[in-house]
Amino acid sequence: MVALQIPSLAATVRQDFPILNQEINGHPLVYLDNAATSQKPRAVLEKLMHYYENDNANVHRGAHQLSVRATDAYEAVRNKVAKFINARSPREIVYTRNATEAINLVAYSWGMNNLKAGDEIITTVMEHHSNLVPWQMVAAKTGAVLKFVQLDEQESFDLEHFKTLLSEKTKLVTVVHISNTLGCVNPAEEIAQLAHQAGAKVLVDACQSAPHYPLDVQLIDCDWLVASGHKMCAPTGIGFLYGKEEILEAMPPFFGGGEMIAEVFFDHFTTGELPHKFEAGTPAIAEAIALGAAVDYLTDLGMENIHNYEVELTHYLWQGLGQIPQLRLYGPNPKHGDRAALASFNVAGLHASDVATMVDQDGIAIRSGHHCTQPLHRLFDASGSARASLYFYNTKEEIDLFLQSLQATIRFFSDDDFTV
Amino acid sequence: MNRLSIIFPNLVMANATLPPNLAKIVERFQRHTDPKKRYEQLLWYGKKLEPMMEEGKIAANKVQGCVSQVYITADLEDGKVMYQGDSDAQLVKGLVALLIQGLNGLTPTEIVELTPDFIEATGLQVSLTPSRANGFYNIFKMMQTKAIAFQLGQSYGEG
Repeated sequence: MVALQIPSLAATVRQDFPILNQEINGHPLVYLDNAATSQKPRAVLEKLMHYYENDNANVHRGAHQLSVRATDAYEAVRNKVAKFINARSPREIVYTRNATEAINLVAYSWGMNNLKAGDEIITTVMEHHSNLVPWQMVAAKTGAVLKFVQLDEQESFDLEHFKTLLSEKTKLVTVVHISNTLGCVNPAEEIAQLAHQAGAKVLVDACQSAPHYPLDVQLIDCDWLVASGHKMCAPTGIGFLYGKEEILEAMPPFFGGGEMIAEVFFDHFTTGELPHKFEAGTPAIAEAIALGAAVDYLTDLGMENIHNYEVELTHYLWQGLGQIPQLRLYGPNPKHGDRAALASFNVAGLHASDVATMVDQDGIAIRSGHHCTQPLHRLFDASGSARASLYFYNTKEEIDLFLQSLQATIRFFSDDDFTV
Repeated sequence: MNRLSIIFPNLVMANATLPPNLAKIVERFQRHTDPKKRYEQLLWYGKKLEPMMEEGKIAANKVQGCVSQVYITADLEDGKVMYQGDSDAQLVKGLVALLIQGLNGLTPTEIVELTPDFIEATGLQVSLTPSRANGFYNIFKMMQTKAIAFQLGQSYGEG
């Protein structure tokens, strides 16, 4: 009997991403910087173009046909996003430029108004600067204190340590769902449950989970969740904040201006309804509509399918990297359980930027630097690391090309005999 | 400034108008057609760079850039600028070495008048867009800033 070869997910979607079909330095592009930003499928690019060619108008303010169409399309995406993360209502979805803006919105609107001296904010040592600096600013202003959950021996979230930090002083727990450097998947449900028992609110940074995992905010039971569209096949400039409706209701507006008001007088204004009260100014309309196309695209592929395929890639990547003795890999090994399809590493004696520069010569795009997690790198006594991060359109063949190039790079720098 | 340079400002830095040491370096890179050989060349410059004085590795001499640690110091000897530098990344150290070899011994004015676009002629893929992560551009600018300081010192007298 002949076994049927089932094409991989990447093989079926590859042609949807025109950008991937190009050469860099004479080699086919191997794009492994997806944790920084993802590529965009044609459906998203066409949606942008279609909007500007057919429907472009400002939203929520015109009686004319174009404005009605633009508004309908823009608001329909709110429903899609709500459904994508299983929010109860589209009123719980606030469009933002990105996750950073969403966190700042919560920090300024909720943090500055609800925290006071002595209150404690629990976060982790693995946070992206975007989920650290805004809270440092809140702490500086309010006198609240930041506490940090350390890593366990697998270099993942130390749940036991977290439990020891919780107390009646804890007012907020703000954690990354999946670390963009370590790739560990943090137990968001358990974190939220424990935090709520202590009387604290919970914010989840889902930048690295929303593109790769099925998300359910009701299951997690977080109070807020943030994500960036551009890491999940959508354009840059659009992200979202999920917030429980009653919590968003109680929060004052962050930006003032058009769109967020009910009525304006010379000396005061009244605030508009949710979610518009947080959306001052003309929003990123085309980008939001294209986010809808990205959500449709991901939903059609199935988040479970995406996740399952990425699990396969993760094992393949880690197995390959594990063969290279000079490597220090960060974060949990996939043999210990679920982790993201990325690998941050350092090669003994080599700077990450040298590694990234040389593999780029072979057409391979990886990231080098601190990945906006400087404090975490300091814990590892590393100035930075190299990072290969995958998405569902990557293939095992691409991982092979990366591994070959990485090995050639290590040889390149260890070879002192070259003549020039 | 000649007429050609007004029409094609980027041509000002054709090898012929570069300071001799820099022209020699550019020419050396141009001999390689294989891009990897160019990086070997860069590595070679980095490896033979004179070690810099450890006391020069202070914040004031640090080149801003989020990718690697780079330090540059400058001294004025008989009216000529003498740089020292180092980086923890080998290819970046190669760029530092290339610049030091190309610029050391020039007057502050000669250095200030240079534009960084000669690096394009080397065939190395180095961006000239100012950004926090642009190693080469920021190193070059830091070297020029130190040259400007000497220039001002010379015009107005020391102290």
